[in-house]
This record gives sequence, structure tokens and C-alpha cells, in this order.
Amino acid sequence: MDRRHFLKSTGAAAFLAGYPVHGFTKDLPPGNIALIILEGGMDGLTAVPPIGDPMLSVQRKGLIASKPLEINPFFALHPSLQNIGSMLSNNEAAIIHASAFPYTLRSHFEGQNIIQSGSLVPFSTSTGWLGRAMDQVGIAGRAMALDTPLVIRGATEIDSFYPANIGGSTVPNAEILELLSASHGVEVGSTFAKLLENTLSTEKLPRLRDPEGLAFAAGKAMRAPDGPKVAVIRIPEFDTHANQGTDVGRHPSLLGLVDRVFANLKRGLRSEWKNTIVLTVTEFGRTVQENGSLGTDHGYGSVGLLAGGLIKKSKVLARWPGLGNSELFEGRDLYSTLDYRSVCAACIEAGFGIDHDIISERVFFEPKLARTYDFIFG
Amino acid sequence: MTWKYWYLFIGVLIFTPVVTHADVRCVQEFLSETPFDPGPIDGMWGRKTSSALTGFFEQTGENIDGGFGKSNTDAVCSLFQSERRSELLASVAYRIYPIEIDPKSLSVSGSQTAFDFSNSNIAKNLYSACSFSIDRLVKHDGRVEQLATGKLEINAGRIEFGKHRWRTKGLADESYLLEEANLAVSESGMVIGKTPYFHLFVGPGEIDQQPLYVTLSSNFESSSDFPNGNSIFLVNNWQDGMLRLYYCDLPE
Repeated sequence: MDRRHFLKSTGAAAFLAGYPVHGFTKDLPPGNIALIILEGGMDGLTAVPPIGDPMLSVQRKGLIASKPLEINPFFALHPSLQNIGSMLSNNEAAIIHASAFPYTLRSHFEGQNIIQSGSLVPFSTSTGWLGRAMDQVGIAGRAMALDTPLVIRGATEIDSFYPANIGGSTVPNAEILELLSASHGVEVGSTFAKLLENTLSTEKLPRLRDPEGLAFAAGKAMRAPDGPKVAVIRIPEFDTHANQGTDVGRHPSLLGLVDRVFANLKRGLRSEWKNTIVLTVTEFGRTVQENGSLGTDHGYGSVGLLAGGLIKKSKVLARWPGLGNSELFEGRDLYSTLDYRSVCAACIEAGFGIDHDIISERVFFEPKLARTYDFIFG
Repeated sequence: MTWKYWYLFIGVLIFTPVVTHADVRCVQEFLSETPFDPGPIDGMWGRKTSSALTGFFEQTGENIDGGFGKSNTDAVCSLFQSERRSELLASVAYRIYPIEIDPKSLSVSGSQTAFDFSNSNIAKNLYSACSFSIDRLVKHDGRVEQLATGKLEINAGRIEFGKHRWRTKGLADESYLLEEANLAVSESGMVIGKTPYFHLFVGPGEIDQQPLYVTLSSNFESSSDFPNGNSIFLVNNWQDGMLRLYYCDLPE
């Protein structure tokens, strides 16, 4: 199994964590945090094209939707992001542009570790930034997950549970099949590999395994009293080196999926939506220019999508670096002028009500991390 | 006119003094450290400098005596050079681009049950309390299966659901009709509007299904005692839905 096939087979997944524990959690944090991890590196210039930048049409000949949804004279949305557009017009969403975790080496494996651990040295810590934030409010320790993702691992040992007969789990999980086929000998392994292929090619996967279904179920679980305060949803396959697609195709349909994940979280959360912040993270953006195979390669600055009732006024927030040759990072990528850790910190501050100084020191190990709370939530 | 005196024009252009102001340069230098780009720092007041300065004052909400136009650049410059300089710079560390989306350009609306009642005659004087049931009518064999039952009130023609229960199980709880239903009773007694509708029964261990969002405006079986009656609505190719109002009481 090659690396790309592996990336594909890991599939979408949702994890619920931060169940309040009686006798341990003193005061419930005021809000919920739902994190959507966009694996592979989302192309921020496709999702939220800066239509007011005259260099956009010069640097990007294709891969910008022909009819983008205008947000304001400078920015637009890809037309697949209709629900985000509706949330923007309802003052419950924000877009952070030209932003990334300060990691510029363009490796998926390091990048994904950094966006989950929140530490700038890859593989240097066994806990994740959201897990450390959960430690601070006393809700770490229980997660509903098979393989608890790094981002929600805290100092407290996580007691995972994952009911075996959860609706929809009778259809084999691609991730488990991949592991089984890898760990067995040739003959048995090939049977599992065949089963895995069937699973991946099954068009009608059960609802609960789709990111949209997972988002709905996660939102519904978070709405319950004593429900989890944290959800993590993984959406893979943003690594669009070839045939990225402009109006239709792979990247546009992934954006549509992200859009429906936001909408379904809101539907699942219902009245709890007002106490929630949903944010995306991705390991890096993609090159400004299209490559020779109608795609884009690993870049630097990208875009973050935020939504939830904790936002009071919609906006696009950016310190726009420009798209001229001299303004690009290493002459090829959108610069990141806003450290995305600051955005995560602001979301923790809004969701868990912790002071920014504590978040910078104990969650991101960066005492001088800029505070963006007032810009985003003010 | 011939152009034999062209050198005079060139002479005029060359000797026209280029007006630059130290104050304008000072304003541009400050702005160049913010996300509001004043263009080249040349001491000349132009459109870029002007719009960058407007953007700065719009985001910060700062006020300055005499405004921030071309004639007041000395006051603006002294503000930028005051002890508040770093505070002002921090307040525009990032630029806030306001949202100007035209909701009409979106194909989805914030609510799944938005409905335009302006073309309907709503029974605005109707106040009542009723029992209701939501049923599905299976087309091929004519079965009528009850999906939900409960109480509702009609206030000025608008339906407000009360205590009720969905038999479909799964996700279906009271919150859907309480929070999302958008229905009204028309003068004819027919119920119109949009509502969530759980059309499938979910057994234990089965995958939860979200409701359909159906529009009521198609058919009505009235009864003699208004507002009792059956409002029938289209769902899909194998079933119709029905909202039945009964035991409605009317105030004296």
C-alpha cells in the first residue's frame, strides 16, 4: 500500500471528548469547541479567493471558481460554501486569511503533528493543544474514540470508550481493515485488502461514517446535558496535487463537504450552537500558482473558517500580504501574517473562558503569543 | 492649433513644483506599518493614502478634531506620533473586512423552514387549542401510519406546538417542532408553511435519520367545525403526509 493510498484509506472520523467527570470537573466551561482538521493542506485561495487583489488573476490563471460568492469588495467565497455564506450573513462566522501554524517545511507528517500538538518542534510532545486546554478546565480524561487523536490528548490519562455496536459500525471500518491487512501474512492480508478495497469503493457508505453524519451525531451528543464539550472531526484528502478542480471536481466537492459539516454541527447542536465555536485547522496552504498537473503543491499561508454562536459579528480578518512575486513566501506561497495558534488560543478563550496568558504559557508554550480574541470575538 | 510650442508645455510640466508635505509623509509612514496600504511613501496626498487613512479610522473608531482629510494631516500626524502610537498600531494589527453578502445571492437560507406567508390569507383572528397528529399516507396500499401526536395552540393564526411525542424514535424529539416549525392556519382552515417531518421509523441500533423539511400548501380536507381538518402535503413518491387538527376548542 503506497503513501497516497494510505492517506486516502484513513478516512473521515469524529472524536468526542471532554465529558465532564463528576467530582473532578469543578465548573463546566461556558462553551463547546468543535475542531475540524482538514488533512492534506487546504487551498485557501480557492476557498476564499481575494478577488480584490489585482495580482490574483495574474498569479492564478485557473482554479478560482468562475462565479465566486462575493463577501465584500476584497474577498469572496467558493460557491460550494453556501452554509458558511449564510452564517457570515447571520453574524455567526468569521474567516481568518493568510494564516497558518508557523511551520514552513511543507511535510504532511510534521505539519499534521504540529497542528495537533501545538508545539513547533514536531513529535516533541505526547499531548495536544486542545487536550492541554481541557486539562486547564478539568474536562480531560474521557474521549469517545478508537484511536484518540493527538490534539485532544492531555496530561490526564484518557479513558477511551467506543461502543462496538454503534449504529452503522456493522460495515467494516477502512482504518481497521488497513491495519488488519498490514499485520497479517500474504494470504489473509490480501483478503483484508480486498475487503478494504470493497469498503472504499462502496458508494453508499452508512451515514454515520460520513463526515456530515459524524458532525450531526457529534453536535447532538454535545447538546445533551453532561455531554462532551469537545468534538474533533477529521476530513482527509485535501492534498490536491493533480486535477484539483475549479467549479466542480475534488477540491470543490471537499469544500462542499466542509460546508455541510458546519451546517450539520449547527443542526445537531441546535440550542447549544449559541455556546459553541467551530474552527478548522490545516497543516499548510497550497502554492499560489497552479502546477503542471492542474493542481497545487504544498504551500504556507491558508485560510481558517470559524463559525458558532460565540461569534458576535461576522468578518474576514487578515493582514493581507499581497500576491506579487516579491510578496510571496519563498517566491511561491501565500505568506502567513497571522500565527494560527493565536486563533486557536482565542477560540479556547471564548469556549473555555481561560485567560489568554495561561493559554499562551501552558497550552502553546509561547508566552508572547499575540491575543486575537478582541479581533475575532469582539 | 499646431504643436510648434510643445516645448512650452514640457517646460510648464518640468517647473510645476511637486507639492510634498512632511505631514503626509508622516501619515504614510505610520500607515505603512498597518494593513492599510498608503501606496509609496512620497509625501503626496493621493487616493491610496486617503482610502488607507479612512480604513484606519473606520476600524479603530478614533475621532480627531478637524477630521482626517487632506487639510488636517498635521493633526493626524501628531496623533500618530503621540504616546498612543503603539496602542494604535496594536488596534490595527489585523484588518477587519466587514461582511457585505447579499443574502439573495445564497442558495441556502439560515432557516430550513423559512416561508413567505405574504400571499396567504392567514386567519389572524383565530385563537384556539387543539390536539394534533402527524401521519404518513402510504400511496401504494393506502395505509395511514401515525408518526407524532400531541397538543398545539393557535395564536393569531400561527401554530405553536406544545407537548407532543414522535413515534419514529431516532433523533426525533420535541425540539424540532418547538424550535423550527413555521406553520399558520389560513382562512380556509388549511395549514400552510414549512415544518420538519420525521418520515421513517428508526429501530434500536439503526442509523439516525434527519427529518425532511416539507412544505404544507397542497391539499385540504375540511370539516364542518373549523379549524378542525386534515392538511395533506406532498413528501415523496411513496408517501404523502398529513397534519390533522382535532378537538379544537374556541374561546367564547
